[in-house]
Amino acid sequence: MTIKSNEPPVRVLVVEGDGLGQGTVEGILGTTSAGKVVRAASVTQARELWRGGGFDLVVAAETRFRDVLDGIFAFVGLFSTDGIVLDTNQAPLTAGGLLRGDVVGRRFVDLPWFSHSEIERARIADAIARAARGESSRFETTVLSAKNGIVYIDAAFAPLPGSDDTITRVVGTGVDVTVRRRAENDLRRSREMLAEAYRLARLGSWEWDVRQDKVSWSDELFRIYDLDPARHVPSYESFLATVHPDDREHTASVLRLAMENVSAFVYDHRITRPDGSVRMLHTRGEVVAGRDGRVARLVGSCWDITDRWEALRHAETARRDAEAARHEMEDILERVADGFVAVDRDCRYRFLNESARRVMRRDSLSLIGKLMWDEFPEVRGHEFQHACEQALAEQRPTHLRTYFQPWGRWFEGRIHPSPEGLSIFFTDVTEQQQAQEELRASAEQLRALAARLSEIREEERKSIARELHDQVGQALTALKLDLEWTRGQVDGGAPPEMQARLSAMDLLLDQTLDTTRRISATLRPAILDDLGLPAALRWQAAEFTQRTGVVCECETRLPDADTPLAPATALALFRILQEALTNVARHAGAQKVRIGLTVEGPTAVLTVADDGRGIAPEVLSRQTSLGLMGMRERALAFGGTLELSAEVGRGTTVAVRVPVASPEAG
Amino acid sequence: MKRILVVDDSVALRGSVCALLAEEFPEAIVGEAAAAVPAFALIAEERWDLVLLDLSLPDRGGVETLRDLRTLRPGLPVIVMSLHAETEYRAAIRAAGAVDYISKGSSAKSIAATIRAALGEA
Repeated sequence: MTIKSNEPPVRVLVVEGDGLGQGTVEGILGTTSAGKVVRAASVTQARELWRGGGFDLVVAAETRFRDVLDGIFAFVGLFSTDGIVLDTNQAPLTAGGLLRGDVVGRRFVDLPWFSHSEIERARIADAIARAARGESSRFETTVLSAKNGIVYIDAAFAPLPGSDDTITRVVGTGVDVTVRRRAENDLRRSREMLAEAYRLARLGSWEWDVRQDKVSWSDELFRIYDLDPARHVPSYESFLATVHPDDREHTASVLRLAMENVSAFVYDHRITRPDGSVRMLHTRGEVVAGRDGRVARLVGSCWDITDRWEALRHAETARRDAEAARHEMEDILERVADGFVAVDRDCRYRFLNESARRVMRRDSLSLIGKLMWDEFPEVRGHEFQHACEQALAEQRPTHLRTYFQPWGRWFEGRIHPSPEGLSIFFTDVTEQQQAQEELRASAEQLRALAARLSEIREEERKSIARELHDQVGQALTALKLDLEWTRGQVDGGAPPEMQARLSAMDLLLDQTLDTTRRISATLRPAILDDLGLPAALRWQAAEFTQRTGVVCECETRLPDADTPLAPATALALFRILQEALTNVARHAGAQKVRIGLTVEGPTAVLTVADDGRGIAPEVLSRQTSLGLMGMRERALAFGGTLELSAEVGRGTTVAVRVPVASPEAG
Repeated sequence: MKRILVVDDSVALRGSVCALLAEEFPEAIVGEAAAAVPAFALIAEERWDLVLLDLSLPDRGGVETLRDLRTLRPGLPVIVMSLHAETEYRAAIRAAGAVDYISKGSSAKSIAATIRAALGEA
């Protein structure tokens, strides 16, 4: 120790010998190069000398006491009342990498130990000042160690009264509490983290001391229940009261059973919070027995699983809704009369309705998941398979009506593709198909019958016409010639009455012949048989003009003789012409009619065009007038067609095309 | 002496025509046939100056018969008789080779005139 020369001389009491066991030495031992030194041989002596006063330092140089102090790891320092370090022990200095000389004589707070914090410097300075005023203090502070960084110190400063009880020195001690402090910090942090984890997990915990009937909750559990820890005192009864009525009995019975068996327990229960909101909690815990084997306490943790529960509940609701919708759809599909089959992209059965099962004579169980083509190999290569594959490939609905040989039935099918597969609706249309075929056959029979009737009528007409012509006509002609002969014989010699009567007879004969001729021609134009169709058309045109006053032109590009038309076909065309002219006379209001007959290859074409008022499109589209139907039927009977074209104000044209060589008439 | 063949299936009409011919052409020889086939037989066997042909024969078509007659005896004039109105018939009948056409119901005088013209006696 060095006492600087400009400072007042220090009176030093030097204690020598072993006095440690016999009393307390107040003060720190040290050495000085200046001042008065008094030596004491023992502690007792030193104490007496010390009490006598006048010493600044007690020095026990080279003594065991000094050795012990120096070896103590705790810091012990002696300061002047203004904070100058007078002496310290050695070990803390060594540990801090300092020499005693670096420390003694300097202000304590100026040491590098306090260079890290102005606050700590101030606290130390304050503590020394207070000690100088007689006030002890103890607090925790930090110092900066060159070797160990921040070191936590349990520091104490106390006044050191002199012999006259005035405070002349301050004693400071410091113990390194870093390790303990770090452990404490770690523990605190770990507790905080645990609490945070509990909070994040919404995991609360509780303990029920059954013997004292005392329940304690973790903060998080209070949060879960939305209760104020300061105002709510948890108890088993108050807990049960918060449990949802529907879950209360179950919760109580689980706990009762666990207590009876001293076992672990787990239960889910809903609670109602003060604001009325419901939370779902998952609780696990166990019953702890005391040394006597009886229930001592229950500990448990509560997990707020409301979010998951609600998510599950919603998912379940959604699933049920979807299921219900699917059931409803399947129910509807079950009831539809159409067969319905759903298959996936590989054409594996997914669903069949009742109608489909009936038609296919299979149950769902034997088909679901199976390939269509495996279960019904007879469909392979059928039009239906192609339609399915096409619908899948093109993702376009397909419709087909097809005969399925193996079942001997007609089916109408609609195939709707989707990315999941195919929805196939089908109906057994065998009866419908048969009805249609029967209808078609019936229509054909009807047409044949009509044609036959027409033929018969023509035959009858022809026969009557011939009778009229050959019998009546010839007879009348003969009568006329004979009458003329008779009149010639009696000419001049007959009485006037007779002559008048003969003239009247002649006139009547002419009229009757005319009538006969007309009836005969109407029934059957002999000209058609005698001279062929072109001549008959020309004759008919002239007759029409004469009868109606409408100009009727006829242009035929067929030779009169050797007409290639079969007689029956020629007759049909002639009858169609007559019908067409009847229509013109009745409806057209025409001034002029043009009749044309040409042969185009194997087809004879008859056209009748007027310049009348035409036909309105809506009337034209019906085309159901009997006259028109009759013409059409005639054309059809000879393998031909009839086309009617008309425009309002621009006349009407009927065009008939028939094969020159009629299949029937040969 | 003219030879006239009347071809008609009506007995009454043939009788009347023959009576008319006897009246108008007393010197003529009149033959009768009731159908086409016997008529052809007569024409093939004998000479005729004129044929009065009805178009409505029971065995063959009148126009066809007319055409065949023209082929068999190109120089033999044929007058067609028919009950039908002559307007439309005349052209067709002429085209088929008939020299003329008599509509039945015409007066005896006009018939005689037509025959006379055909015989070149007018």
